[in-house]
Amino acid sequence: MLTMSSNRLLLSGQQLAREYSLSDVADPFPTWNQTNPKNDEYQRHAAEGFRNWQLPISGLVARPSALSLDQIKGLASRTQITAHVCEQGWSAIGEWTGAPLQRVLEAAGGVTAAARYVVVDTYDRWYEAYDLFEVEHPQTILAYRLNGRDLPRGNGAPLRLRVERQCGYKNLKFVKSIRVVDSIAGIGKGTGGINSDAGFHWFAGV
Amino acid sequence: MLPERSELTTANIWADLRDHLRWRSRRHTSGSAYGTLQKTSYLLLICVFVPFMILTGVAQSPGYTAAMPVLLDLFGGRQSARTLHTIGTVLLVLFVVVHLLEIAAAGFLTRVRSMITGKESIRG
Repeated sequence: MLTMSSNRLLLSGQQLAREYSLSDVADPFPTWNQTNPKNDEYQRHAAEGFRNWQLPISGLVARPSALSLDQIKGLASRTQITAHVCEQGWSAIGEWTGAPLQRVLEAAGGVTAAARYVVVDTYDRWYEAYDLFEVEHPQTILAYRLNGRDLPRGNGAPLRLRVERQCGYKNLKFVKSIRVVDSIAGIGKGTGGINSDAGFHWFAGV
Repeated sequence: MLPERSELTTANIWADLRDHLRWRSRRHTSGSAYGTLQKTSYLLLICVFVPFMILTGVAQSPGYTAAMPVLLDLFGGRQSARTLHTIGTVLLVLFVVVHLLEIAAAGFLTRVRSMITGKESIRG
């Protein structure tokens, strides 16, 4: 709590995490942990190149909808060369291109007044929740390109969430769906993330 | 905790080091109960080492470095900060080991009691 308060106090200007230059990029970008979810639905979509895949956006948004990958790519995009900082100790700089999460939510009519968290679910049964301050940050994007190429399967295709001011485990791979909620109490073990359910920090900005 | 001017002669520091290495009782050349090397190492610990550990630690944070990117420049990046921090950890452990050995040499119970009551007991 203390870490988050002091961290957020320092970041109240929504400052960006450092962005690097192309020469700093790690290519190929490391692939760790899950690289190919054993989920049938995922495998089917991956085999089709995610042609028929859709991202459902539900919960406290004005117009619950589902966006195709092309539709997401059609939204205003952001390219950022940033460092992925893993809890396990390593870091790697990559060039990510994607749609700011804020724009994706706006495509569903924007969040309602009651909204407090955005919960992201993935194909390898991970989920994490983010507060609106993090969601609104310009560098919080759903990335579909890495290092100038379509996001590889090992790095989280079709979409990988980037949350640049928090540790790697909040940067979910294999994004499956988005739900906007007012409380994380009833989800998982109620701590707001699969990692926090396992004892890690929900707020990984440290 | 600050060493007095009279203590900071090469001769005195060398004598203090020799006493330490020979496991000999300390001669106190100033009014303080702390030896010269002791004071120096404590000062370095509190004023240099601890800030160093805090800064190299915070420099690894994606959150705090977003607010203070100068930390990344100070240590040459996150991975360098991590290496320095780990080296620092080893040094810290070494400090604690030496610290405990010295306390044992000076009389563990007497030192701990003094630490709590604030009263020195002079050994024969």
